[in-house]
Amino acid sequence: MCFKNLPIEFDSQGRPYLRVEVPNPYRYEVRSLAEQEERIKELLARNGYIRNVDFDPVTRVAGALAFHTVVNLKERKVVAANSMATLFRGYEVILKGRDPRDAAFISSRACGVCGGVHATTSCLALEMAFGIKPPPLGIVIRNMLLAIEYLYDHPLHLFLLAGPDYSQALVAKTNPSVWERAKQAEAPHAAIHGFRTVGDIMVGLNPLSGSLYLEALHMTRVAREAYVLIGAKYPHSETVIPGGVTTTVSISTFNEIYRRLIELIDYSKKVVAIWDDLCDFFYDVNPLYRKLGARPKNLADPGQWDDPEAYDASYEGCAQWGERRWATPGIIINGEQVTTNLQLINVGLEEFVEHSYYENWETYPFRTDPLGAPLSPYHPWNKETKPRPGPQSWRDRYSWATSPRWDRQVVEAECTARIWNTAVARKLPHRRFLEPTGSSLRMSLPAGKMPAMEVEWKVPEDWNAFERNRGRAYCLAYSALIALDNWLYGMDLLKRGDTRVQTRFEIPRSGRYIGVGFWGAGRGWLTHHAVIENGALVNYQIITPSTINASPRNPWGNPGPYEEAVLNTPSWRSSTGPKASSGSTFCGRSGASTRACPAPPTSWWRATTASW
Amino acid sequence: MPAAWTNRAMQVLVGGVGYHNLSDYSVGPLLVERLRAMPWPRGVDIRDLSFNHLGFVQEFLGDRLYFDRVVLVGAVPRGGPPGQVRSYRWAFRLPSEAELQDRIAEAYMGVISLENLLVIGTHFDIWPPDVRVLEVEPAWETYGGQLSPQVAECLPQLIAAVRGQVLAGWAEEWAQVRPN
Repeated sequence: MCFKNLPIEFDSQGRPYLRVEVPNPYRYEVRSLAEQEERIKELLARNGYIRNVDFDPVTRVAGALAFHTVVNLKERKVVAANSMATLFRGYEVILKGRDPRDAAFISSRACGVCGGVHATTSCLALEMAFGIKPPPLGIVIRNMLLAIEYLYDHPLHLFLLAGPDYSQALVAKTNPSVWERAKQAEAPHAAIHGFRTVGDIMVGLNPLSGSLYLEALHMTRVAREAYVLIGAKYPHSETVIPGGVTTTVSISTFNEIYRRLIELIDYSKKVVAIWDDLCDFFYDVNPLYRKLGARPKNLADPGQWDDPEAYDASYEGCAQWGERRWATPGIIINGEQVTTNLQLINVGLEEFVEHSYYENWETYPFRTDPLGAPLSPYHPWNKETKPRPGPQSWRDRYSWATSPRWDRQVVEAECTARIWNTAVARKLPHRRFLEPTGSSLRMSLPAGKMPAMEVEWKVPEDWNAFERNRGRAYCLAYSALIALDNWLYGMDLLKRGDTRVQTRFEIPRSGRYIGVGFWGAGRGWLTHHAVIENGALVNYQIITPSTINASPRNPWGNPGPYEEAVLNTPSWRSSTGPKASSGSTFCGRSGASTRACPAPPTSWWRATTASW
Repeated sequence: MPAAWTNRAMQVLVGGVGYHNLSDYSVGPLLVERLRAMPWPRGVDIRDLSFNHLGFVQEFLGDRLYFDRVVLVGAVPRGGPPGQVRSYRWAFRLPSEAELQDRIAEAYMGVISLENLLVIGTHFDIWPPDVRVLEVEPAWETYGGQLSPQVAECLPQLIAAVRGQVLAGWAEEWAQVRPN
């Protein structure tokens, strides 16, 4: 079945159980990094062409991130990489002992862009813990709200954070040969986005002045306007609560949203076309770009956007309601989807702290989940957050991020995982605008000012920085269609007079309750695990996509996704460029970094990571 | 009573900038609440600007807001003694394009900063020529709504300074504005 490393097997009815013959089934040996560290030190001491290259802070990633690399300039490769979350945020500590109803409002502050998803994930955890099923319109409004949130988030990423790496301002300076070629390269989708050449697109991407940059600024406003119509406030919505939402809606609220939604759907047609043209152009320029930020096709996603009929908030039913979501949950290992079952996704999750500034914990309160499936002592329901600040050491501890792993494998959180899992699972029940084919996801974008259009995201041959950005562009269209589908669903409910948006609930003052919110953020995976005792939170664990992606090495020494992507990124010397690119070239995502080491450009690193 | 009333009041924006629930770094929004509870001449618009600075720029441009003067207040750490109040006229100097780009990205990712607001507003050309800044040197940077004793102690001085900056040079003009 789906687990290769955890001691879990399945009975004849497919129920997971712990392999009995293993005496201490979750025990593991920590692989020392000392030897590797000594080897690197020796290399650094002996060879002038091996250098430490540090980046602090890494910009364009919300939160505090720094990165350490050791680079072999002669062989043109990165020989060591360490990703460091430099800030202890401590929401888990802040929330301990509080009224569970505080969790949504406090955990929302975990992100300055996507507060709504945190608030919602928190509410889902409490709904599960207390058995609160929101009414259909409450679920629909929540779905709409959080699809719209991505209509802010994705353009922000694509044009303000990642886009500048592909801009004329940067490419012409750092990769003149690429820029010369871009100026001549006809853009295949010019009829859709209006830019005749790839060079014209790059000019549009120029930060501060480019038309695409400025348009993205405007479109984020359109998305925010739609969001606050039901969320009241952006980014920290005031209306999301356990059991639904507090906002009341009318046909006129829906009409206000629709006007903006159609504008955003039109925009998504253009965005998909732009990123298709950019990605394909770079592959054409140099196939080595396919290796940029490459890592195995290992992705995890808990899915999101609940079916209003199927979602009952129960853990017992999560495998069923999970598969009816607009984004199918799933784990992809080496390109193969190994499960879409939310229970198994939860059971396979562990969080390690050997290389993080935390102490391990001794307690093991939940040996099984509510359905009797085995849980690791390192599962979030069992985890305890015990900060332990200390010196930075590559062999020991170097990050405030933990190392979440699934089935003890390094998986990546990524919004593309949503469309990937949905496409290959073919379980999506909502097919008004979306059609999964097993190898692609077809999206039918209705007419606005632009004509109706079908776009098709295909499972990529390579998994790299370019495909992450392309996937994000398609996720813009995907999210807009999910917002529209839920808009139509909501209109039907309103017409039927079913205007209930919230289910009342009480917090039990005694007893122990557990719940998990499975959702996603702009960059992918988001879960909140809650344990409530006698009316107060006794444990609260948040796993964000950045925790997963920026994670340090795990106990077995395997690098986290950022680290792995940087280690896999090649460096090459431009064969066609003029003198300007004569230095060793660490390929930026856009190839935008041809400045010579040992002063490697920050854009090299940005380019590799900002695709998350 | 002036010889002649005028209906044209000077338009002054007083903006508090900072994080909510972050002790001294909340002094901007906290001050907004206090200032709003006080009487002000007509034309003084007191706002909490502790949100996406690009959002404010878009609101400013979209709603065609106009102000004769802007007074911004918030906590900025500069290494001075805690509770120190500093005031200056904004010089409209922009950082490099790369830094400006980073500041815009920061604003979009949730960073609330008085300096970023000044810079981003300048880049998008929303400010009138008269922009005045009042900074407080923070002592505490911890979760919660309580100010450090030093910053709490300087609040009366800060409020007086805001009033002073709002009225500065316009005493006669304000005196002629017809009250509400």
